[in-house]
Amino acid sequence: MKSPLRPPLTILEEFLLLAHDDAASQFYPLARSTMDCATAGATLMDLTLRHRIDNDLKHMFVVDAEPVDDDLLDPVLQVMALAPVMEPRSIAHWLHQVAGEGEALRERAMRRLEMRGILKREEKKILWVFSAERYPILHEGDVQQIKQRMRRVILGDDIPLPHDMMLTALAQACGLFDHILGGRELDAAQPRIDLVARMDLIGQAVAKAVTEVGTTMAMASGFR
Amino acid sequence: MKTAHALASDFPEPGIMEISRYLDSASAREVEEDVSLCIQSGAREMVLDCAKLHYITGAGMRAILAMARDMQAVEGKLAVCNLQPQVREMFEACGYDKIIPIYGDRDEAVARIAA
Repeated sequence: MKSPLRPPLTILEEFLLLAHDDAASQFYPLARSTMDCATAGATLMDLTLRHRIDNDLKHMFVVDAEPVDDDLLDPVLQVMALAPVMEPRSIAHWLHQVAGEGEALRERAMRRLEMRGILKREEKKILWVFSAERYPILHEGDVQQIKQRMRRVILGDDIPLPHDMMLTALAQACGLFDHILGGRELDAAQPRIDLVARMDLIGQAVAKAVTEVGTTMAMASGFR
Repeated sequence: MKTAHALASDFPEPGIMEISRYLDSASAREVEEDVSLCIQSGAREMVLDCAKLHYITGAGMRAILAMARDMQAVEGKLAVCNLQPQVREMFEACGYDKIIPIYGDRDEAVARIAA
């Protein structure tokens, strides 16, 4: 019997799987602000690819407020659609707004990955007192497919699909290629990563926001 | 009335496609389909003449990228020419100028792509 067709993973879901350390059953230790920016960027990218929002060099705007029947994307679209049309906002503005919901959006995306049977959530007791969550991957194949696809995009020279171009930008902004490519491979591929990551303006805005937050935090803690 | 339209010139190659006014989420798919039809009909060298294109969005940029990808898949060549300031700025901001050849005018584009 054929298994029912599964909808493709969203950019946010794929990003979370790329940010997952399979060996440790944990996410790579990224700053929460970095994860929030990337989560917001992924959500805006998903809405873009569903033809609901668009952007030019200065502004991001809703082009179709019709819901996409997605409990993660529709609330964000609804908020964006309520913004005054005569006062268009920048990508950075919407990134900042959506990043405020970063944790809730990630939680919803994680639940979806659990429901699809790709990973599961476990609570682990440390010293019988403290608890920590672990996320073992159940479907290793799904994660490997994404990583292999990213490797093909970066190590090849084909013009990438928009979805892959956007995922590349998020992975680059969060330093995830360190975990996907080996050291020498990464050095050789860096120009190509930079080229692909730059091809999407939302991805550029995520990278800028991540850098700015990092700089602010470093300055606040006395480092330059 | 269409906000953007594409006109393919008769073969021989390179085929010239004029893109006019806006290339955004409303018009991108149509232009992308026109190029795809040209490729299916055998076109392997195409120039997008953007002299009358004054505004492009992310959706329009992705459509041009899709055209370049379709052309790459059949080992063909795609170039653009006559970029207006806003469009050129968008191309440069997204690094498309590193992927798709940009020429000053149609004559130059035709000469270079056919070379």
